[in-house]
Order: sequence, then C-alpha cells, then structure tokens
Amino acid sequence: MNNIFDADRWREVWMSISRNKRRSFITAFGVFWGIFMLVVMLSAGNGLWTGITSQIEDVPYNACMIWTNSTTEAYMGFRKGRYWDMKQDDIAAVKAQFPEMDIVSPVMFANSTKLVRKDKTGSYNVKGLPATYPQIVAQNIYYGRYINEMDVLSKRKVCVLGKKIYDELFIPGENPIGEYIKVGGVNYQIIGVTDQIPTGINLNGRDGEAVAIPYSVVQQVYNRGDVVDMMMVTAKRGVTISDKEDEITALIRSRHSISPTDKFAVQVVDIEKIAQRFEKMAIGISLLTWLVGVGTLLAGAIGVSNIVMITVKERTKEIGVRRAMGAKPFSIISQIMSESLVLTVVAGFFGLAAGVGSMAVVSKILAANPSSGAFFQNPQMDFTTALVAALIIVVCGLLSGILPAWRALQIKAIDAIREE
Amino acid sequence: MIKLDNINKSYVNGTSLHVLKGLNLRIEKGEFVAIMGASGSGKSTLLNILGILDTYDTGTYYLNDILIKDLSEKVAAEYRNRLIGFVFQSFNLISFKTAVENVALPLYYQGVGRKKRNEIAMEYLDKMGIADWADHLPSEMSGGQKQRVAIARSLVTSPQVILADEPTGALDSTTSIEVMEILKSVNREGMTIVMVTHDPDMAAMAQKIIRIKDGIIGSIEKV
Repeated sequence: MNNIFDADRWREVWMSISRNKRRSFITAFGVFWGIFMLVVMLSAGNGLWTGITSQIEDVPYNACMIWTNSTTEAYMGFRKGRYWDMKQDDIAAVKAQFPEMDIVSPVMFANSTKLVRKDKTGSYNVKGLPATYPQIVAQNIYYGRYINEMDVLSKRKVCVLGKKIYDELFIPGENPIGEYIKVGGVNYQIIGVTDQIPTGINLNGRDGEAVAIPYSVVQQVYNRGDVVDMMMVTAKRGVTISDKEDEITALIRSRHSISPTDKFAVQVVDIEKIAQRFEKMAIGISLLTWLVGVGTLLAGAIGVSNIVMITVKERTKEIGVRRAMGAKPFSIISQIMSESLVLTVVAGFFGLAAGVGSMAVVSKILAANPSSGAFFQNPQMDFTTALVAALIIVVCGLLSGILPAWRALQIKAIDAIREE
Repeated sequence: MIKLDNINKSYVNGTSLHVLKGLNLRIEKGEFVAIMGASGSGKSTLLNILGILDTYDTGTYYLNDILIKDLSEKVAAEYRNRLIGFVFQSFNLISFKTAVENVALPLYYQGVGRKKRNEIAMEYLDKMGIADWADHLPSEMSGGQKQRVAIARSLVTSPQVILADEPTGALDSTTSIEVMEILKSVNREGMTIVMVTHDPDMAAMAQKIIRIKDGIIGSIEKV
C-alpha cells in the first residue's frame, strides 16, 4: 500500500509540482544555484590544492637554510651588534660532526651584475651555487647541464643561465652551450640553461632570472675569500632536520663565539615548515569552500522548505479532503516529503551537472594555457566528492520536506472541509 | 447500525462551549435521515463525530458494531475510507484531478491499482449519468455535475453510510432536486444516508427528520 515505487505516487508528486511551474522553477533554482556553487567552489578548492601540492611535491622537506646576522648579545668579550661570517670550515665541521646529514653545501650571493652578450645586455642576480643545489631546489634543464663538482673544485669560469635571461639575450632556438657571456666584466662559458621547478621557495630571487656560477668562483672573483653566505643542509632518510637544527646552529655558534641564547645571530629556515604552512592554507581554503558551499545549498533547501510550506498552506483543503477520503498520516507525510525531495534532487543534479560541466571547460582552458608555477591547476571534483555532494542534495531534500510535512500532518480533515 | 449513547462534546476555546449534551441516536441500516437544527445547535459537530472527523468527550459511538473511540489517526483514516462516504456542500473535489481520478481517490488510499480503480470509478460515474465527463476537470463542470462526481466518489468504496453535509447548499433549486433524486435512488439500493440540511424542502425528501436542539435530539419525525 502506497508503495514508494508505485508510479501513482510519483504521478501525484509530479502533478502538484507542475501545477505551479514558475514557483517550482524558482524554488528549484535556489537549490540548483546552491549545488552549482558548491561544485564550483569545491572544484576551485581542489584546483588550488592540486596547484599547491604539485609545487611542494618537489620541495625537499628535510632541508634547512642557515645564514648569518649581527649578534644581539655581548659574549666572550665581544660586543653585541658584531657582524660575523660563516666560513668554508664551518661547512666541513658540520659535515664531520653530523654524519647523518646528507648535503651540507655553501651558497654565495653576489649583487645584481651587468651581463653582456654580443650587442645585448642586462642586469641580473648572480648566485654562487654548489653542485648539489638542484637536489634542494629542483631544476628544469633546457640546455646543457648543471654545475658539477669539478666546476667547483677547479673554479671553472662556467655559468648556468636562468631561462628568462636566455629568452632575453638569445634568439629563440639558439643553442647557447659553449658560448661566452660577460658577467661583471669576466667571461664565463655557458654550460646550461635552467629554471627552478616552481615550489614557492626562492633563494634570493628566482633561479630563472639569475646566473648561477660555482660558489668557489664567486668567492674568488668577488674577493670573498672563504666566506660562505648561506649553508644548505639536508638530512639523510630517517633523520628529521628540525630535530637537528638546534645542534647544528649550536656548533656554529660555538665556532664563532656567539652566545648560545642568541637566536637572531644565526638564522634558520626550515623548508618543511614553509611547506606545512602551504598545506595548512590549502586545507583552510578547502574547509572554507565546503562551509560556504554547503551554506549556499542550505539556503536553497530552506527556500524549498518555504515554498513547499506555502504549497501545503494553499492545499489545506485538498489535504483535508484526502484525509477525509482515508489518507493515512504516513501517506500525507510521504507525499509532501516526496515533493521536496523531487524538487531538490532534480534541481540538485542539474546543478551538479552544470557545475561539473563548467569546471571541465575551465580545466580545458587552463590546460590549454599552461603557465608555470600556477597555483591553480585542474579544478575538477573527484568522484567521491561528487558522491558526497549528491548525498548532501538528498539529505537537504529530506530535511526541507520535514517541516512542511509536519505542517501538513497538523491539518485535520475537519478544519479543511469546514464550510465557511 | 449507528448507535450513539450519551455523547458529550465541548470545545475549549478560551471559554468552554458545551455543544453536544448527552446525545442519544439510533439510525438503522438503509435509512435516509435528515438532520436539521439551528446554527450552533450542534448538527455539524454531530456529523463530524459520525464521520470520525472529530472526537467526542464521553459516551459511546458504535458504527456497524465497531466502537469508534480513541482511534489512532491511522485507524481512523482506514475506517473513514472503508465505512464512510462523504458528500460536501462545496463538493471538495481536487481541482487538478479529472472526474474519474477524483472518484478513484479513495481506492488509491486502499492501494487499488490504477487500472482497476479507474474501471470501478468509471462504473460509478456511469451510474451517475456523467460518464462522458470522466476526463474533465471540476472547473469545467457545473455544480450539479460536480456533486454527482462527489456522490460517485462517496460510493466508490461501497461504504456503510453516506454522510452528506448540506449537499444541495451550493446548488439551484432544479439541480438540488436532481441531486436529491440521486441520493434517494442510492438509498433505494440499500445505502444508509445521513444528511445535514437547513432546507425543509430537502429534508422532506428524506424518510426521517431529526431535529437537534441545544445539543440533544429535539424531535424525530417520520416523513
């Protein structure tokens, strides 16, 4: 009796929905819009997530950077505010003291320098880098190779151009390998063209806009002696760098007579923490999108509830007659709930389809115009999320039917058919 | 067949209004009874109680030897559906359903299949002489036609009793007499009919006139 799969029942439902097409349509639009926005926002959040994670997947989590600053505490007879330099020895000392570290390499920075190549010139950053650098800041190699240990040891005057410099100083397609370029008045042979894989982590500007030369060459050419501007450290597998940071900096402090409590003098950045911050941001955004999306959908469902409520009010007499004719409470409830459900579900699935469809178009457009380092990639919903969204639609439909159904139940046949 | 004993009914709405004051009534199977009374005399309340649309405070009401008291809404709905047919003054047809669908509605709530119930509904429409109007909406029909549809609907479940609340109240005199003739012919076939009216001419067409006065039976007169 009054079976859920009884075609008659759905016919009844359809009749009452289609009786006032415009009102039903406007109501349904509320839900449509809600689920559409939910899908768009979830997809966008997903796109952001994909974008961010694709950037940080190339980040060496187990790495930190150490550099110097003026001291803030007087210690061992030294005044505070003293400038100090890390030395090549410190690299060796850390390496010797901490065998669980994988890479311990120096980085040098030179100021913006003039580059001359034939008739073209430009001003670019110069970085003095170790051969291990690509293991920490991953590189896309466009031409040639990266700096190797031999370049560093032999202090070869070779350089790796950033992709952007190549684009500006060379004709597209021109092979730069073996060519010479003047950097600050000294000729270097070009051994490669690279750019960093975007990670959101930059050391003194992006690699694509800088000239990389062996750090030993920077020390020599720029008269820096055995000074080291920055130390890059990565830990071996199974060792967490953040656990070792304090020990490493303590060693450096003691070697330079810096107070053990002077945090400011030895600066440390833990890459893992930066990556975590990005991840937290992405999680926050995705939470927000759910919140706003579900909120919008809820507003739509409340709209449906309201309209069905009005419908119930308008149909007081009809419902009363039905009850006089022997409609049981359950059949009244199920009819009103079915109306809400049908309205919500139909509108919801149209919204779902429209949302997924339009995000597929956006994805195509984004994929057709790839820009490196995009924080927004492939904004699409995965199947599970779509299922969850569908479930939310159904739940909203049922929820929006409860109040009107309850209202309909309060209608007594006697009230409805009472002659005025 | 209808046995009311010492029925009391009060409405509490700010102040208490005692409408039925120990009413006793017997109606036998196959009778055609008209209930008359001044407005406020309690005749509508009586009809509502008879139709299981309203409850009463004390007393007993037996319909076909079934005690109608303290029923759950579900059981009340079932009894209304199977035991009682309603005819109303303003027809109370569902506006977006055709005549045949309206007539078939009580069968829908019995779980009768669509084809079967439309067949039965057509039979009754035919009996009322309006089979040609089966696929018309109520808005396309005259008052007399609508009331015929309503009577067909009240008969479709073969109930024990037809309760008619001012069945001619919204009709002109010619149509009123036609509708009364239909009710009489239904009665002749053995159906018990209880009709509330304030029109003496219509009441005169019943077999018995029961006058309600101040919540009790004032007089019973045989026509």
